[in-house]
Amino acid sequence: MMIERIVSGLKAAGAEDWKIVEKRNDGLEWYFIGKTLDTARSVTTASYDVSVYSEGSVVPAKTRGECAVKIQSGAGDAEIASILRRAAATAAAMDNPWYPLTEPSSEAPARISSGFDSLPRGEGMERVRAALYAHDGLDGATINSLELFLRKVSTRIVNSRGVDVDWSLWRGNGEFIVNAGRGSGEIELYSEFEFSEPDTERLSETVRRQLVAARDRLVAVATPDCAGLPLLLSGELAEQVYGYYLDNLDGHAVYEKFSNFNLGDQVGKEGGTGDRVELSAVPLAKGCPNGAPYDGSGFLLKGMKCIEAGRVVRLVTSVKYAHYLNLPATGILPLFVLAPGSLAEKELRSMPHIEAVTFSDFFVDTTTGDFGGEIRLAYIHRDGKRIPVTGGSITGSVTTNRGELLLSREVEAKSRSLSPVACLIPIVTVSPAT
Amino acid sequence: MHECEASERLNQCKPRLRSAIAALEKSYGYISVLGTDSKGISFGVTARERRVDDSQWSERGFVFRAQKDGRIVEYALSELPEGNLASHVAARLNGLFDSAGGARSYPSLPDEAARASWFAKVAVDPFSADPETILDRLDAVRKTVAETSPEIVFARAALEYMRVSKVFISPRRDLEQSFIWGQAYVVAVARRGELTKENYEAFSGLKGLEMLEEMAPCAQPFAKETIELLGAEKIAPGEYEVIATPDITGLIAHEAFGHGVETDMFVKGRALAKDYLGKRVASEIVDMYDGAQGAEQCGSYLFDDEGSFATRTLIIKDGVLVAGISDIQSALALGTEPTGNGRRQAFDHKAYARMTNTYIQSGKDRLEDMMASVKHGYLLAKMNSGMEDPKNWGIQLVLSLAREIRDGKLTGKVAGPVVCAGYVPQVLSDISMISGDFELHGSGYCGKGHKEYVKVSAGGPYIKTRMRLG
Repeated sequence: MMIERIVSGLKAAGAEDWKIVEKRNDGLEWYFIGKTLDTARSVTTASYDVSVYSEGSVVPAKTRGECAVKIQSGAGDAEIASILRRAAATAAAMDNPWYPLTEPSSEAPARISSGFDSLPRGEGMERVRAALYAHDGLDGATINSLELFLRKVSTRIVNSRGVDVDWSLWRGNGEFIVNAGRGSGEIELYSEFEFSEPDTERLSETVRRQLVAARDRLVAVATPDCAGLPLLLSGELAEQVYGYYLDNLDGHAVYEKFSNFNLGDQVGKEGGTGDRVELSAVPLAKGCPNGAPYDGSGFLLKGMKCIEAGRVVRLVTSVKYAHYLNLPATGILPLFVLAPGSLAEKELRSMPHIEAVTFSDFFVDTTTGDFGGEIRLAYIHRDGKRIPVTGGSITGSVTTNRGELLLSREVEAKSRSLSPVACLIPIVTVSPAT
Repeated sequence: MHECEASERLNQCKPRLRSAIAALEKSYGYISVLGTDSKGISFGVTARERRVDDSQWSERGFVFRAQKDGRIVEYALSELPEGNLASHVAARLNGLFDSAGGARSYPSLPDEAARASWFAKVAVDPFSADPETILDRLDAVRKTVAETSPEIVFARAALEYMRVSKVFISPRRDLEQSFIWGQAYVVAVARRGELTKENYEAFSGLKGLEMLEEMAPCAQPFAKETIELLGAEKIAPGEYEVIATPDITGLIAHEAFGHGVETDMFVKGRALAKDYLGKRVASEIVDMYDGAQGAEQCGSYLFDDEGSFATRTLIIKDGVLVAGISDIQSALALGTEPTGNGRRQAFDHKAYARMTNTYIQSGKDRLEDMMASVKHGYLLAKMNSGMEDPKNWGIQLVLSLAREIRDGKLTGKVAGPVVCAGYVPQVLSDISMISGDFELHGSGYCGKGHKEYVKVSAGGPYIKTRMRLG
C-alpha cells in the first residue's frame, strides 16, 4: 500500500508531523461531434500530496515550517525517501508563525449519496448523454459538439495526529456548443455544466435553454445605449457574483489583508434598497458537485452562518488561519447557501432591465469586486418589449452596488451553492455594440 | 550551461513500454504510448509567510492510444500495473472499443519511423539552488513593492520551475525530450477607502534562476503602477485608436487568429477561418506565426503529445490567411498535415489542436511615431484575460490598465478595468503601424474554452489598431 510506504518514508526522514492526501480517480470520457461519438477515453489515476511540518523554537515565539510535495503513484522506496528527506529539510528551514495541526474528530461527517452509486458507469453516462440530446434540433438549433466526463473521486486524508478519513464523490462535468442558423449566418453559443446526480431533467433543461438562446442570438440586434437599466443575472452567472461574499470570508485572505471583509463588517449599506445578505457556508448540498465532508487538512466540516443581517459574524478559516486570527476554526467550507430575497423572480423580471444570458467570458474579480464581459446574448426588457441583443460589453462592481442587490425569492442548486435563481444589479455600465 | 537530464523513471519504464507496444501492435491498426514525468518547484513569499512546495503542475503517467477499424480510443493511467502490461492495457482499450461501436472512423493514424531526443540547457539549474537564497531574493523584491506606499496592503513574490520530461513510443517511433521552463510573479493589492485594486507583473521563459535578475529592477515601477490603478477612471464607452504593448499584441494574436485556426475547430464547423483560407483577413503589413520551433519560450518543445515533431506555421502572410495549426486527429479528418500542435494539459487529458508560441512579426515603425499619430486613444498596457470566438469572430480582452493618449502624448490618466471588444478581421485590418520591437511572454496558461490548460507564449511588437473599449 502506497500510504504505508509513504509513512515509512516519513519516519525514516525524521518527520514528526505530516499529512498525506490520496486521491483516486476513475473516469470515463465521451467526445461527440454532432451526435456521433468521436473519441472515448478511460482514465485511472492515483495521486499523493504529502505535507511535512516542522516546529522551531526561535525566540521569542515558536515557529512552524511546512513543505508540500507530490509523490507519484508507482514511485519506488528510494525515490519516496529522497523526496521526503528534501521535504523535511525544506520544512525545517521555514520559520513561519506557529499554528496547530488538524486533530481527529469523533463526530460523524455529513454524507450525501448519489444516484450514480447504483448505476454501472456506462449506463450513468448514457442516461446523461440522452438527457443532454433530448431537445436537440429545437426550433432548428442543434448541438454542435459535446464533451462529457464522469468520474468517481475517492479521497483519503491521513495525518500524524490521528486523522484518518475517507470519502467518495461523483463528479460529472462537460461542455457543449449549440448552433443556430445556416451557412455564413450560423452562430454558436458555448456552455459548461457540472453535476453529481443523474438529474436528467435539469440537464435537459440546461441544453434547452441554450438552444432557445442560440435561436434568439440569430435574430439579436446590436446592443444599443442602455443607460440606467439594471442588470439581471441568473444561474451560474449570478452565482459568480454571489461567490464574492464567500471568497471574501476566507480567513487566509483576511489574514493577508487582501480580503474586503472582517468580522463585524457590514457587507451592505445603511439605507440601501437591496436585500440584506444572509449567507451560510456548508460542506455538502444535494445537487452541488463541489462539496466535501472534510477540508483539505481532514478537518470535519459543518455548516456555519457567516453573514447574518448583512453583517460578517464568522470567517471561513482553516485550522492554521483560525489560529493566526485567534478565531475558532470552521475548516474550508466549499459551498454556500445564500438566503432568498424579498421579491419573486417574476417581479424582478417585471422591472425594466437588461438580462445578460451569455458573455464571451464573464469575470468577477473577488479581490476588487469588478465584474464584466462582452455580451454574446442579452435581452433588453423595457416598454413592455423583450429584445435580444448582442455585442458591446457590461462592466460593474460588487462594491459599488453594496446594499443595492435584489435577490429572487426562489433558490436553486448551482455548482457551489444553493442560492437565489436570479439577482438584479442596479449600477452597471453597458457599452453599446456600435 | 546546465543540460536537463532525462527522467530516470521514464528510462526505467521504457523496456516495459516497448515490449507492451510490440505485443499490442498485433491487435490494433495503431498503438502508441506517451509517458510524462514532469517535476516542478514553487517558491512564494508574503509579509507573513515563506513557502517552498512542489508545483501543482507536476505529473507522471502514461496514455495509450489505439485505433481499430478507424475508431480511436485512449486509456490513461498514472501507474504501470505489475504483471502483463499489454494484457492490462488491451482489456481497457477493448472495453472502450466495445462501447464505442458507432464511433467516427478516421483514416489510419500515421506512424513514420523516427528516433530523436532533445535535452535543453539553462544557464543556472534551479533544482540545485539553495531554497533559502531564492526566498531571500524574492523577499527583497516583495519588500520593495510593499514599502513603496502604505496603500499597498498585500504583496507577494513567487517563482516556479518545471522540468518537463516526456517519451513517445510506437512501433516505429522512439522520442524523448526534457526541458525546463520557469515563471515568476509579483502580485500586489492596493486599497484606498472602499476601493481595492490588484496588479501583477510576470516573467517567464525556458530559463533557470537567471529570471530572478529580471525581477528586481521592475519592483518599484510595478508598485507605482499599482498605486496608479487606484486612480483609474471608467472609460467613456466607444471606439478608439489603440496601441497594444507586445503583451497585448500577443493576446490579440492568440485570441483572434490563434484559437481561430486550431483545426479541430474546423472539423467541428466551429471556426469561420476554414472558409477564409487564401483570403485577406488582416492588414497587408501583418504576418503571424505559431510554432513550438518558432521561438525559444514556454511553448517550445521537440515533439508534441501525439509524437509529431514541432514546426513553425505561418498563419497569416501579408494579411492573407494561409494555414491552420493541427493535431493528428483533425489533420486526418481534413486531409492535411499535422503541424506538431497536438497538446494535452497532462497525460490524463485528451490531445487537442493547441497553440505554442504565437506572435505577430515585427514591422518597421518606431513606437514614438506610433504614439505621435494618435489623436485620442489608449495605450493598452496590462492584460487580465482574453476569450476567443472563432465561429463569429468576436474578440474579448479584459485589461486591468489602459493609459490615455491625447495629441500623441500620454496624459497621465489611466483606465481600468477595460473590456476591449471587436470584430476580428476589422481589428486586424485596422492595424496601420507595427513597431520593430519583439517580445514574447509565457507566464500564462491557455485554456480551450474554460479547461485544458497548456503552457504557451504570445507576443510580438507594438501595434496600432482600433478597438471598442468599455
